[in-house]
Amino acid sequence: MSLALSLRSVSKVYSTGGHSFKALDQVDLDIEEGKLVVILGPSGAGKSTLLNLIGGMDIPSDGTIRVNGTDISTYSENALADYRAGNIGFIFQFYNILPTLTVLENVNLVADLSEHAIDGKTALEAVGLGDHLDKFPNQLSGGEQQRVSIARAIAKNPALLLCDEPTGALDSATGVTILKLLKEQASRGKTVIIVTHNSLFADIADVVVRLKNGKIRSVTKVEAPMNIDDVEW
Amino acid sequence: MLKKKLLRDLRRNLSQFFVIFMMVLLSVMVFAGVHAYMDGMRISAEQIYEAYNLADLWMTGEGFSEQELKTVLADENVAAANRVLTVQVTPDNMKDVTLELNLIEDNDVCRMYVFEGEAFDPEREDGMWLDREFAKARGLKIGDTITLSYEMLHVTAKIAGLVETPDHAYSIKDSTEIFPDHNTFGYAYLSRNVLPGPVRNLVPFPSIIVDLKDPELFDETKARLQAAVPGTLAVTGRGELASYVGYQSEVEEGETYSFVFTALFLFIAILSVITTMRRFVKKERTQIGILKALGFRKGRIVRHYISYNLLLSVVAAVLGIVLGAALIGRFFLNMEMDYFEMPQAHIVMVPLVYVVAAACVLVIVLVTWLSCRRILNEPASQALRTEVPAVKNTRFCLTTKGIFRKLSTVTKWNLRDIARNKGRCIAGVVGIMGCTMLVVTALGMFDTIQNYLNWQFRVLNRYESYIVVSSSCTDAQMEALTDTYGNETSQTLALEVKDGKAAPGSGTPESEAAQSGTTSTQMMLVTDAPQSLIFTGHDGKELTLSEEGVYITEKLSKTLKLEIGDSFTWHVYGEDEWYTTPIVGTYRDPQNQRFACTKGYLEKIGKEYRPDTIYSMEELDRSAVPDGAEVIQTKSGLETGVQSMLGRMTSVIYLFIGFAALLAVVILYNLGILSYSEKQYQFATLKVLGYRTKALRHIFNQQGRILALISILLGLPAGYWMISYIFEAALGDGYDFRAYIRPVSYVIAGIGIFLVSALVNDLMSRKIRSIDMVSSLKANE
Repeated sequence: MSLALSLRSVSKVYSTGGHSFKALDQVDLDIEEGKLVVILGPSGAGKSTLLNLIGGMDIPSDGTIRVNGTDISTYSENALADYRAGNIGFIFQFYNILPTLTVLENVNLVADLSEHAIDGKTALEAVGLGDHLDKFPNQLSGGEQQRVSIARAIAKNPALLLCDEPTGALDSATGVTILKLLKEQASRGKTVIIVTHNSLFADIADVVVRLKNGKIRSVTKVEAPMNIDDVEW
Repeated sequence: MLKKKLLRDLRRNLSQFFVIFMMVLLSVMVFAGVHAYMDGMRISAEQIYEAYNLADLWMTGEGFSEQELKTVLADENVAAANRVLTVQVTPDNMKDVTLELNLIEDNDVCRMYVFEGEAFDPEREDGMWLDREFAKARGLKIGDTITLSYEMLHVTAKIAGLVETPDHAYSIKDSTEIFPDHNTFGYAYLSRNVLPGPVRNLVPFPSIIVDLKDPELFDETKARLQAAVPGTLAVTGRGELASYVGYQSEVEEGETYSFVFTALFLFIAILSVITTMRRFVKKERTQIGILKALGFRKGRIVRHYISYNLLLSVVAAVLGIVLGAALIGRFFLNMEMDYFEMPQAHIVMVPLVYVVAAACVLVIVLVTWLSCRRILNEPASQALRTEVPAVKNTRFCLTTKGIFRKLSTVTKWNLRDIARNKGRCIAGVVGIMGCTMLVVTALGMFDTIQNYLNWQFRVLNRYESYIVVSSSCTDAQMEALTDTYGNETSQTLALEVKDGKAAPGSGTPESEAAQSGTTSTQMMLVTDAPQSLIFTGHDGKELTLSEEGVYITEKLSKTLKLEIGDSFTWHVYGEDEWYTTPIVGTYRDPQNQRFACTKGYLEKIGKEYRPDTIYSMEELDRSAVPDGAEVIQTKSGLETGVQSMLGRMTSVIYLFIGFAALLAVVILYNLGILSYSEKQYQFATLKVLGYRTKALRHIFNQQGRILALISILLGLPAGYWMISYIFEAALGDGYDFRAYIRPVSYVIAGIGIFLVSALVNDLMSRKIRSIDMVSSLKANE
């Protein structure tokens, strides 16, 4: 499965207590399928907002987001849920796996949501957790929990993997393992978008998008991304 | 500054604190309310008994002379004594009414409390002092005329006063009735002078009512009076007066209610406090850390968090006392006073109520402190750090094994969530269980009374009417009565029974005087009415009485410790001959605990059978009392009283059910909020993964349904236990009917509570729609 994204004049305004704040301002962006895209920027740049809009977790205040030609910015709540279920795999900084489900159950939880889901056990084996199926999340290390999160994301067999600071809560060695897994997904034709403030990620990306104050400062295509093991983390 | 925080926090967490407030309010309100009327009834009665000289001692005989009265008055411990003749009559033009007529000479004992009209005047020849409640029910007023006929006498009297007397607080026609019916039964006082001149001095006074100087010396005085007045057949005290006993047992009944309901509500309040405060303080963890880092002392922070519930519980307790007295106390007192006649009845707040209210506040404060102390004891640096959720794996092991493996992931998730949040779930289960108990109790009260009615009036008493034969009925009159109404008759004997088992000696008359040892007063029904009076055994099946001995009700057999095969010794009051007879069987009777035997057995032991009641299968005209009869009573008339009571009970039942539903809504709403806040981030995650709102609502509601089902399954038998406890504690020794709940009542209670629970859960689950995935997940981070 693959997915092409096209954002045109996308803005997002948050209003609280009579004040409004523009998190994204007239963003235009095209993302090709099967690429590892890294979105970089300082705190408050609008990285997570952009990710949330692409993932259908939020709707833009203005502009259009086209996925394979279809505008998702006008989707209903249920249509957005179906879009997320069928197309998006999310990976969060703090894993967000359900503490009362076993590792396998956490992954299988999404099996019913996607028509082209893969077996949970297979997904867990792919991330190296084949021996931990019946464990509960609190029996795992942070890195293992993040791998469960990745397994859950890829079990849906989504076209797009959205990662919000996926290594933010991990030590560097574990972070490298996680990045390798994500890179591997990109090499299999999935579009992987990573949001981070760590500029080292730019070295391994196919495309680097830099954001500041809600605006895109630059979009850089990297001709020859570095091997993850070669990066000085 | 912390006060502002307190008020703002209370406002922000209104629903959770509202539940704590409500539970403390309800606990105190029920306790204060029930005690207000119960203690009010008790103290009002004590005041009236004292001020209006309720008799301490009743002497019964064939007829006491003036000289005998003087002998009684001469006793050193007698303060006052009056002779009384009491008969039951049906006034002309009031064929459905039985009037207890008391002919007196003076009114020093059991003095009348005059509501309207003039005080009792022994000289007046045409005055009647009438039961005020009866007058009210029948629309009678001062100056109205009532004509009465008793045997050959016809008396017409004007109502001179509307009164109540201390010995008629609980005024029922006879032992076949439980609930007073002021519309069909009342009492009246006439001066002896109302009778025509020549008859006046011939009036027999079979009773003397006595006011003692020192009631503690009852036994000694009784012995002296029995010896001094040989014509005395029986001497009884307040303990044998139906009015006194009935009133007292009603007062004691309140203690049961107040205890059960206060404990239930307080328990729910404690659980609510534990769950709410734990969660609240957990949420406040960082703020506690900040306060500590700023230099606030631990004691001050502890006081701050305790003050949330201290403030609430003090306000709730004060309000509970006020509302309990004003609403519940007055409501129940007014309801009780529909049955009981107690002038100047008022609610009373005894110190115990304030002590219990203060204890409730203290318990809440203590529980608050215990719930918060772990976090409050943490050092500032630790409190400022995010707490790592502690999830013990052992809690979830069960759901990874056996049949649980086959459950859906959602069900497993819900079961584990329940195990993970035990406090909230237990509070919920206990709360809903309590509501189920309330509804089952309410419906069960109705069912139990209906069941009693069926047993009493359909199974045991098959007659339609009965005629009470006059004590002066001649043989010829009796023959005429049985010729007209049939041969189904019975006789009730008042017995003095020696305590303990006797050596077997079936029917042996013992001429010697009573042996040493204590005695008790019991009744024996001698039946010659096999079609009209039915007896039922332990299992409710009909029993045919043999002619080989005496039967005893199960409850009385336990009281007297007599079993089948034992013998006991007795004599009839007014007769000297003692008998020792064997117990050949036990039976159950809902409202008369006594002995029973057949006419054949009575005659077998050499005693004469003289019926005092004749049963008829037809509904007789109550006004057409034949010669030789005292009164005619119909079964429908008896039932009317109970039915009217049931009508009133229905409104109380609706109140109970409404109250239970309200309680259920409040508890479920609070727990729903807690449950929702616990799951919010997990639902946000599931939403991000692509779960639709409808699916998430299903997950949320499933847990609610599981908990409701557990609560209801526990609440239904608990409801039965509660009503059994209430009936056991509330009914006096004279009654023997157990709690009965129809299966349909269980179904109604179960489905009703389940629907309320489902409705509240469904309303709560609507919040899922508004979960903002982004901010929920951010907040969790």
